[in-house]
Amino acid sequence: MLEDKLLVLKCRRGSKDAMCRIYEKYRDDLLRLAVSLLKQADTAEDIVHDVFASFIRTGKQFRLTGSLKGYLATCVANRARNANRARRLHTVKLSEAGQTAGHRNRPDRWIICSEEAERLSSALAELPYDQRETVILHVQAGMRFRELARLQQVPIKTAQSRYRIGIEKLRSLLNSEVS
Amino acid sequence: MRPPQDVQKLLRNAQIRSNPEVNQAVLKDLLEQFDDSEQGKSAPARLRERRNIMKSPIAKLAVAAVIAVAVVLSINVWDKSISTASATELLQGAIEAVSDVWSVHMKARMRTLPRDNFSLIGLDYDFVPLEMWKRTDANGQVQWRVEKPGRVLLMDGQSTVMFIRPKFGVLKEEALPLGCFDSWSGRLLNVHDLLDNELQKATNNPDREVCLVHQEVQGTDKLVLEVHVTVDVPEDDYLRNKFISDSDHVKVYEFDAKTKLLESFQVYVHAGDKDVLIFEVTDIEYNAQIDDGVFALDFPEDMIWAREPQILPDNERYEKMTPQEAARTFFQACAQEDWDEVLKFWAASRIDDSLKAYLGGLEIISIGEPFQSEGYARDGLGWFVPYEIRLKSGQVKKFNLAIRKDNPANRFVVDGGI
Repeated sequence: MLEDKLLVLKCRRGSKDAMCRIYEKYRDDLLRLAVSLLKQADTAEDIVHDVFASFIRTGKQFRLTGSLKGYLATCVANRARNANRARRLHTVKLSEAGQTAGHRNRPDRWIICSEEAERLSSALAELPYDQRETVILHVQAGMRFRELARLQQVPIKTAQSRYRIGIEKLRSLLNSEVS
Repeated sequence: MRPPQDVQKLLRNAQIRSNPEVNQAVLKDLLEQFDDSEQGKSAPARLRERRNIMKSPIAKLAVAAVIAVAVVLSINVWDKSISTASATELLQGAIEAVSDVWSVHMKARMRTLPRDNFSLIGLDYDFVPLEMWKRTDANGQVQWRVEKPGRVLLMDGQSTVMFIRPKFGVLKEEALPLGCFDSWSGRLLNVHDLLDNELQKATNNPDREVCLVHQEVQGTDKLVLEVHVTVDVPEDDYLRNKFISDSDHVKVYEFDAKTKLLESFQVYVHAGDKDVLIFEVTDIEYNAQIDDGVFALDFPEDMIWAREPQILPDNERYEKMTPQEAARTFFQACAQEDWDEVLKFWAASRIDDSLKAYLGGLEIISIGEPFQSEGYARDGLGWFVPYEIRLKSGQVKKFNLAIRKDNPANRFVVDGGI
């Protein structure tokens, strides 16, 4: 959007108001994206914080060529993937293991999920990471399959297939719930 | 079973909220980082950025903002995020500056079609020149003229005429205001009203995005006012980006900082991730003598004049027609070269020979489902009917016929799309 271009330019010129506006505009979308991609709410929160901090650091050289939302969503996705890889490499302690959706609404938490969002998050956590990422980025971040394929470095057909299978699994998981 | 669409909807609508206290804490931390980052900025880096930024027309405005900051801090009048109130002050000053202007001559260019109406735009159309004049005589009588290659719109003080070259005209025996007949750009001649209108909007909409920057151009101080307009027209609407009023756009006014006179004006339409310059005033002259001949027109002897559809003896038959039936009947009449029948769908005194030669003997390939657009709804009386025809020349034309029935006879007449 034109507004985003101007906000980025104003940010580069040192406008705190523009920075605040970007933060307010995309904060909740990015938090939702991060928490959907990752099981751990605290990691999701850290990622969003880091993405904004990184945007500030690189903002002087930053040139917006596409949509700002798409750019920030890609940053969250990249960091979430790295976090997911790192998490697989270390053993989760029993005391940490429960910090998933069910513990997200502690008073010091940044993210406050609705019950529906928590149920959905639990179902999403059952999907393999690549499928989860494809589904979330396509539906919630509005990313096209072409963009997803580039991000995941796979052919477009693979991205489409991951999406189709992911949605089917998610549907099956949600349908099996007792409501 | 949930269908896949429901799962997508569930994903899209899943709500999360963020804790307001944490929001503020995170923002505070980010702004501190922002400050640190600002302080670490070196002068050469600023110069490099400036060179990069000048490549984009919108970015040039941002460069102006840098200068604005510098000027603003020294004179301490406006801060760098200039508020609507300051924009209001500027407009107020500009309104006063033009209050005793008695003539305006403006040259402009617009991405449109030379022979089409005054408002149509196309992001990939070439620029077409426009010229506009307005004067107020000692008795307060106003005259104006707006001209593009295929059309002239003239108000001589008593009547208003739209002359579509070479020989079609619409005459109204009254002095219509600038902006009539979709002559959007004509409103620019009413510099006073134009600015007053922006002032009203700025005053009434504190959230309206109005930016004001102060820049130096070739040694002269300029004030640049940007007004950002977001429209409520769906992305897939047929008329989206076909008129400025149906597009997200930014209007850029440039004033001389001393005289407060408007010196240039541009409109950029935002489409996808592009900002396309659609309209630009290239020259403005105030209080210059304008030749009387500018406000007079000569017409060819065989002029065809537009007229309101009259009530027909069998009007009821036409009143009952659906948009699709009306389009089909019109094209069938063209196919049969039944020009009396064609005239029932044509708001003019007669059918021009060139139109007869063009449409006569056509073959209907298909008439599609009619649809409406918010920009052409006309209280539900304006429709587009997709059609495909083969002309006598063999050329196949596939387009949308614009028809409307907001007339006293309450029957559809062709309004465009031929």
